[in-house]
Formats: sequence, C-alpha cells, structure tokens
Amino acid sequence: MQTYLGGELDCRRATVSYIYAARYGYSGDVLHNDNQIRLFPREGEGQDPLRTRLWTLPRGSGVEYGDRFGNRVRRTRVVEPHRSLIVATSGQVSLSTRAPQPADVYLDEVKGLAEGMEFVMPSPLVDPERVSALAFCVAGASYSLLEVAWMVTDWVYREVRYGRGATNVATTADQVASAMEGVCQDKTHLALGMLRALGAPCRYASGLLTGQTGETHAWAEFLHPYEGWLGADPTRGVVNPPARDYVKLAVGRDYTDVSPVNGSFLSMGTAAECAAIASVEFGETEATLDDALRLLEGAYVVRNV
Amino acid sequence: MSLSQLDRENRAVSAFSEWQDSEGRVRRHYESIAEAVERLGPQEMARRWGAAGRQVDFDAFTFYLDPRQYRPAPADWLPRVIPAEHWEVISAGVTQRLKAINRFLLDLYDGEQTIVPPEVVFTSRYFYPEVQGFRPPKGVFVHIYGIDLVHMGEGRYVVLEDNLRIPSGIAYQLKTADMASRLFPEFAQGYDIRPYDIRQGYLDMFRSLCDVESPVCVLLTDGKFGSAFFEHRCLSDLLGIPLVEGADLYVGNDGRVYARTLDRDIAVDLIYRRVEDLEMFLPGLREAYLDRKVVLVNGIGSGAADDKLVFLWAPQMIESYLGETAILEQAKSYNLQDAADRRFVIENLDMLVIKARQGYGGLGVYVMPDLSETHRARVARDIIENPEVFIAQETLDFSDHMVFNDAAGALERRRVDLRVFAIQDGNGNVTVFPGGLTRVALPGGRITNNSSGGLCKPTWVVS
Repeated sequence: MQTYLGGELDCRRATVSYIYAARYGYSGDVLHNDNQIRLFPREGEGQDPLRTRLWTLPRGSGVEYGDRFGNRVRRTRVVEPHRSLIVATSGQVSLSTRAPQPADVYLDEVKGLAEGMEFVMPSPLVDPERVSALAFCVAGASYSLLEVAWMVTDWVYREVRYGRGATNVATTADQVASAMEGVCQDKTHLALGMLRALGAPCRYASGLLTGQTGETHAWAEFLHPYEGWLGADPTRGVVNPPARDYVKLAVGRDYTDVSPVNGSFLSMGTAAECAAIASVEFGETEATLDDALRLLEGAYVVRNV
Repeated sequence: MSLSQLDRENRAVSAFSEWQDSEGRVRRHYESIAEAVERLGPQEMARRWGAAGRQVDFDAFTFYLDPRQYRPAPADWLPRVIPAEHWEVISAGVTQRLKAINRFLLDLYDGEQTIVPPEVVFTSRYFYPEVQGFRPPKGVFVHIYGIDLVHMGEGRYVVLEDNLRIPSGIAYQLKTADMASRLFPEFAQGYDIRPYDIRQGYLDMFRSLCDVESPVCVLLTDGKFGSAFFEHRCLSDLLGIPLVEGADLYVGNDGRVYARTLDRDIAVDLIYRRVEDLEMFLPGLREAYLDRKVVLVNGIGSGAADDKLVFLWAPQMIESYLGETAILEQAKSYNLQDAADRRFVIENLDMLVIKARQGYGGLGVYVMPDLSETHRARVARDIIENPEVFIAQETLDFSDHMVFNDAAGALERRRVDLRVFAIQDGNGNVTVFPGGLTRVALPGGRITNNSSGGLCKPTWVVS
C-alpha cells in the first residue's frame, strides 16, 4: 500500500536519489592533483536536479563552470600531499517517466542541422570512416532516422558480446568492431561511429542506471529535428527510453569529453588503483559523505591502472 | 668588396624588410651599419663572426635544448635598429597591456571578473583555484612581462603572445647587445643608442615589493640542466643575489622561507623564481606565499592570463579596466570551442597558424601555409578531435631582416620578431627596457623561438 503525504501526485515524474563515489590510489605522495569533475546531473531533457552535493578528500579548492556541451563541471585542485583521492557525490533528481514518441523523419533532415555539426565529425575515440563499411552493411538500406537508430542499436546490442578484458578506457570504436566485445562505453562508441558514418549526428551520454547499484553507465543519443536528443542504448538494446531510466551526468562527442574525473597530478609515484561505485534508488533519501564512503567499501578495485 | 656581392642571397622573404626599402635601398637608419659591413667585407665579417662564436663559448653563453649536449646560444651580430618614434608606441602599448592584464588577474582571483568566460579561464592550466581570495603584495601579480611582437612595416607592431609566468630572454637581450658593442664597435658608430639599466630596475622593483629596508632576495633556478640556466646565472651575477635551488631553501616553523648558508640560515624576503611547479622544488612554498611570509616574482597564478585562449580577450581587458583602446593591435585569433569560430577555422585552415593553448618555446605551433600536405592533414585532424587544446591565429607576413651567413659569406633575409621586456613595481610603475630581444626564424620559416632553433640579434632603440 502506498500513502502519499502532501504535494501533488504526479505519475509522469519520478524522484530518485543517487550516490557515486570513486577512490584513486597512488604509489607515491601526490603534490598536486588537478581535475575537472563532471558529476552533476544535467538539467533539462526530462531531468531536473533537485539537490546535488560533491565532495573531494582531501578537500582542495575549486571553481565551477559549464563546458561547451552544457555539462556542469567542477575543477578541483588538491595541493596538500596525499596518497589517495576520493571524489563523492550525491543528490536527488526528478525524472520524466514518459518515453518520447518521436515522428519518423528522413535521415537527410538531420544532416544539415547546425546543432549536430560537431557530432558527425571524428572525435578522439570515434572515427566514423573506420566503421563506415560496417555501418552501411547493417543499416545502409534505410532512409529513416528512427529505423537507422534502431538497426544500429539493436545490431550492436546483439552482436557485440558484453565483457571486460578485451577493452580499456582508451579503446576506439574500430577496435571494438574488431574485438566484437566490450562494456557499455565500447558498445556506445561503436554505435556512435556507425550512426555518424550514416550521417546521423549523435553524442555520448554518461550517467547512472536507476534502480541499481554498480557501475556508471554510457549510452548514445541521436539528434531528432523536432524532439532534440533521443536515447539509443546499445548495451540494453533500447531506443527512446524514458528519462527515468538514467541519471544523466554529462554528454560529449565520446568518453574523452565526459570522463567523470579528468586531469593531472604531480608525483614521483604512479596511479596504482582505482575503485568506483554508483547507486540510484527511487525515492528521496539524503545521502551524506559517510554513506558514500560506506558504499565505496563495496566497490570493485582495479589495480595497476 | 661591394655590398651587392655580400647581398647575393637577397631574396625577398617578407613584403617588408627592416633593412631595405622596396627598391632595395638600405633604409636610412641602417645606412651606417651597411657601410661598416661593406668596409669589413665578407672575409673579415666571417673572421669576426668566428671570433664572436669563440667568445660565446668562453662565456658559456648557452641555450640548452638537451642537457647532455653543450649548445651555444646562436646569434647574429648585425643589429636590429628600432627608430625612436616606433619605440614610443611600443613602450606605451606594452605598459598599457601589462597594467590591464594585472588588473584582470586581481579581478579574477579576488573580484568578479566577467570579461573572459568561465569555461575559458577556469580551464587554463595555470589558473590556480587555491589563489582565490588572495591579493598579492602591493597588488602586483605580473612583475616581469615578456611580450612577443612582430613588425608589419611602417611602425605597425602586432602582439602575438604574452608571457606572464617566467618569461625568459632578458639576459639574452643584454648579452647579445653587450657582445655586439664590444666585438663590433664599428656597427655602433654614429648611433645614439638608448641606454637602460636592468640591474637598477630589477632591484628597485624588488625593494618596492617588500616592507623591509634591504630585503633578502634570491633567484630560484630549476638547476644547471635547465634550458635557460645561462640566464639564471647571468641575472644572479648582475643583480648580486644568490642563485639557489630548491634544496637550498626550506620553510621554517614560523612559516618563513630560509636559505641555508655556510654560517647560518637566512630568512628570505623575496624569491625571484624561475620555476613553475613550486611545490616540486620546495614543499610549503605556496603556503608561505599565500600566508604573505614571502614575496614571489612573478606571483602564483599569473599564468592564467598566459593561456593563448585567454589572450583573445586582452583588448576587452584594456577597455574595461583602463577605459582606453588598445595601442598595439593583436593577431586576430579564433576560439575553437566556439561553433562559428570553429567552422571558420576548419574552412580556412590552410591560411592559419594553429597554437597549443599552453604551449611555449614555439612547441605546438603549426604555421599551416608552411607545412606539407600530409602534415597539414594531421594537424587538421588533431584540432577537429581536440578543439579545446588549440587556438587559431591569422598568419602574418611579418618583417624580415639581414642575417650574415658566415659559411656562404653573404647576407640573407630571414624573418624576425621582437620580445620586449617590462617590469612593474609595487607602486604600479611600469618600466619597459628599450630594445628587447630580436629573434630570427630559420631560413624560410616563421617560428623564431630559441627552443626551435632561432637566433638572437642585438636590438637598439636609436634617436
């Protein structure tokens, strides 16, 4: 039984609470550690952040700005010597539960859009030319934007095995096409490369999957002339998912534009290990730094990064 | 020997030659030097060039690219002469720019600056968030300023870059001019060369920043393997201040910085630092500075305005902080993060210069018209993939000058730029040292930095 106390019951919105925490370990003292952190939920496209908090340990000093993709970024510089850096965030986000119902359009209709210019070009990890033959084999016969988005997403979902080991954070779209194995980041890169080769502007989205505890997630978004950016998730085999499926943290051309913690450190040592974990639950619970640290204890640790 | 024989390599490089007019007549302010060159003749010139080269070796006048290999600072001894009326404009323009940039930095760290967009200035590698809320001693961030200019002809000088962190080259300016006057006295005959006193200028500036009568100042070097170690040694000698490495200093329990000497440890009031990553050389120095226990020249964080993308907003800084229009124009530049600029750059790539935002020493500078087709394609690819790392600038047809090629026994034309040095003291007074360091590009090239193989040239301002 559900009792709703106060406020207006709105079944078209759902509120979720999220926690994300990451720890970076080093083999020597780090003298300064300067990072751009992209861990604030984006505003708009069916998503409204209600409250967001971000911590780093050691604390460091920082500034905030919006990057050219509209992601909110905190740059934090930690200048006290440290052997591990923890980045943690929590908050509540109101999400639309409605799945978009876009009208189908000709692929040609998105080709000239100024908004999409940058998103058909090659980016550091996605070179459309190198997966162009594959893209045309899979979806070259169609002139419809939605059909192409579906064919590519579904093909990558079915044909590329989900698995770690074959790839890393720097694996390119064409390497995924040869390995035919990868995680959500790799599947997304391959789908992006194929969609771009076919002329559809598309971008990389990173965030958290709602209702789950585990890793961060990545999926693709393609540009629709009337509806804006629509989701295409080659890891789950879903096109046009409702906003409630994700807490969307950042978008960009590929992973290099959205990586959650991106920067440099000065040390005689090296980056030795990394652990990260995310959790998203339905409902409004307020998580503290301690909750985030507790969650982090259960994270899978990657050594020798 | 006639000059025309010396002159056989006289092929036009730029539309504007410093040395001669469009009809090939030597310009009036070079006539006397040209006569001396003619009197000496190619053999004697070559002999003198050899002697000067040996003197460079004896003095260990070096600019290292690789610490394992001795490398004398390459120089050409034919002076560059800047007419006084040009200099007045340069000097006023440099002063104006330095003041505006300093005001910008004060506003950035301890104000509400709104001129440069946050996504630009906050992504500058040398913007340091920990400096926020800090006001440097006497309100000066940039004490020593090096500005790169090129001459388009007829007194039109254009700014290419600002160097605000640890600009180097002033000792090279001094040394080249000094050696030229000793080894080639005949060049200077008949010229009224404007004098300057770097020693007095620097020491007065140091004193004006400290609250004690005779402050203890040291020069912090990155060591004898650094590329500009000659300059560190030369300036320490000239200024009469100790040359120290990080290991010679420590931060005491009272938060002050101390220098170890054989007798006792001495508290240091001011560090003329020639290193960027301070904490690597002396842990705790940043805290000492931010606690106002020591003065640093230049201040920590001044590099935020050194970023080549932030450069685009310098004219607005001058307008907004000083209520003036810029005296010196600057190279038209493009922000690759802006969609309209990016489109323009991609469409006109072959005409532009591409520079890495945080590059220095001519590294990461691509003059597209001077590159091969394949190299151009590689750079194009790189800026499409990483637009946030680069800026684009118009390619300028800047002036050339005569260089004596001692192997060929002939004069040849090569492009030159001009790095001018200025200092700002604690009372806000700016001194621009007349002349500067003229840097000569490699044959046919436009990149003049010593790190990229450029030559130094003595530079005079004459009345």
